[in-house]
Amino acid sequence: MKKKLITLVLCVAMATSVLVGCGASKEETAAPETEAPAATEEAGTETAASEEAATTEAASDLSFAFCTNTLNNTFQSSIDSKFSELCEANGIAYTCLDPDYDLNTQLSQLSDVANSGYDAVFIIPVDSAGITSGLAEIKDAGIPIFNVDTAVIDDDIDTFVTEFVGTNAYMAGQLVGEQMAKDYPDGAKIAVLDFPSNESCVDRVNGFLEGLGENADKFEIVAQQDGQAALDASMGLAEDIIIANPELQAFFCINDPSALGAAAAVKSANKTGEIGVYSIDASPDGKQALLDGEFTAVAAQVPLQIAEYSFDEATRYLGGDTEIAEKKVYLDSHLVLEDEAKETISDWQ
Amino acid sequence: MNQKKSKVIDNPVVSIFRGNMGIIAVLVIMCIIVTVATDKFLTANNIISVLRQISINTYIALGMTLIIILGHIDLSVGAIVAMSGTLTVGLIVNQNMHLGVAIVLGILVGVMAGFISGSIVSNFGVPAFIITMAMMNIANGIAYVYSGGQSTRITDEFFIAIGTGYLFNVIPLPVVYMVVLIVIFSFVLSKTKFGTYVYAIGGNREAAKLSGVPIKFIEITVFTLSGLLSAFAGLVLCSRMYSGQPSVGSGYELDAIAACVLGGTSMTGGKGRISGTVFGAMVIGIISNGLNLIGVSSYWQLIVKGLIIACAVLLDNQKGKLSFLRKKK
Repeated sequence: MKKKLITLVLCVAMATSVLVGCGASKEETAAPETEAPAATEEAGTETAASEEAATTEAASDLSFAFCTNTLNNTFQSSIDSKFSELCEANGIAYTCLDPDYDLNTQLSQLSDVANSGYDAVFIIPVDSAGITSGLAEIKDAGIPIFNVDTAVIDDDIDTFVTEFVGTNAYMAGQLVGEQMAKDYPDGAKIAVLDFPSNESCVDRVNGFLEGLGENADKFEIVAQQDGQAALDASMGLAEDIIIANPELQAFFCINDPSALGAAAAVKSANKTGEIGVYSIDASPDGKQALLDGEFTAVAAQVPLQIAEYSFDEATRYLGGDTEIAEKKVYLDSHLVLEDEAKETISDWQ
Repeated sequence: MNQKKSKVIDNPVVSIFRGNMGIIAVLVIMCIIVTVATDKFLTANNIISVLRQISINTYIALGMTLIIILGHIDLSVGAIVAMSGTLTVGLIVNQNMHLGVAIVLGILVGVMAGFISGSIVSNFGVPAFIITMAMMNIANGIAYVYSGGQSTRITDEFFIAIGTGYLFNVIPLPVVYMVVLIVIFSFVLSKTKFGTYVYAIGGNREAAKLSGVPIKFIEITVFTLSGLLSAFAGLVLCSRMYSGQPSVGSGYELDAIAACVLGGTSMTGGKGRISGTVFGAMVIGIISNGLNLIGVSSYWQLIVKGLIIACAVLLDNQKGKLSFLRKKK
């Protein structure tokens, strides 16, 4: 009897929480009274704002979707908030779909997008070679596709994608390489924490090696391992690398989380300053690390610029100017110096 | 079922050695191979570093040992590491909460998660595999919802010292906690009524019930302890990483289970010992440390790690059948 009672209470509690959850989201979707195809995340939070948005939506009548690969990363979420901001300013309805790195989920989301009559779609693929069928559906529905950040395979770009916009990963690597060559004119023993399963990260390493320039043969890569682009994995690896190579002088890491792991390992070995840490990203955390002296140099990825550029291209395209000068646009990277880091500490660039 | 040591052996060191013959053999062989391959392995620096690296897994594996001896499993530990750690750091940095309060709250959340899993498993007889898997999703979700998926950097000196400080300037604090926890858990499991009950329930639930063992109380307590240890692991890990990361912890449950099983804890329950788990955690830690020192690529490491774990379990499993290793039963 007691057991049944507990079961009942638990069931009721679960049901209520589900209903409460639904209720909240219904409120959100119901708020803009016009037949906006999808509610933005912010809709419904402030009545005044959403009413204004609703009227402008009716005026421009456009709607954009952003199919990201994840939002569990400040990089993607900063693109999302930039799109959201730009759309709101221009009275365009905006939706973000997050498959959380699940390819299958992304394919269903792409189908949904194809069927929902959006005017333009921005896509970061979960897997570069894996979303051909989804792209085809969207193309068949006559919706222009703007591939951002991570390029899909070349065949797919040629066939389905209107335009690709990303950071010049190769250049970012090159800049870091050049800086390292400058910092160690006589060469050095270095370790590389890479992430070979990501195309862009491979480009960064290649760019880095190129950037070392004519001094490249003075640099000895004493260890190169997959840091999984993650802090905890990179930290353990870096600790072992430091012990295995007491002469180590610098780490090159393909992104900030990985470099923060290396920096933590350097710190716990009491070698801050002795072992340099070179990174790519310049996320808010990375900039802080640069200011704290944990990073030696960091080259920028430019998610906000990617969002702005691709948004402008999309509106231009929909405005009737359908000429695309270059199908693949790579935005320049730059080394982030202390001044810039201080100024934009809480954001990407 | 009879876990009581035979009376011939009184010396606890001898008994630990005897009981874990298989895993110790694996450990020694591995150490010899790595030492021959690289002179960096057997240095004070590296040994301290390995101990620090295995400490997080060991905290979790201690709780896991109790759970597996009970005949259950806890898949939520990795997610609790992420949840408690992210919440603690977030509360300090974003909510400006007092350090002590935030740490206590972070630990409490882990304790609650363990308590809830344990209560449901024990009261309703639902398989722990499913309930703790559900708890894993919930805890991961809470970490992501609270943090918005973003990592939070923390520079508070006291907080950082928790995971990066040293005792007498030599022994890293995470290792100190590990030793203290190992002593406590060994004592509880082998010298108290509580420990005897844990074995009794795992060995034969019906018999335990008939002899008046408070099954529910024991089970809920063990799951709660596992939540507590995971939350503590999250706290130390965040401190070592100088940040709260909602994405850490995935796969930690498997490392903890591997440590238990390598150490001779039986997946069917009723058998296992803390010392074995500690050796198991060492083997797992030394595999990746050794291969890293030698410079084996990460992808080959996965294959080697798999092979070593399989061989170690096989060896341990077969040791009873080899006459020269046979113990008096």
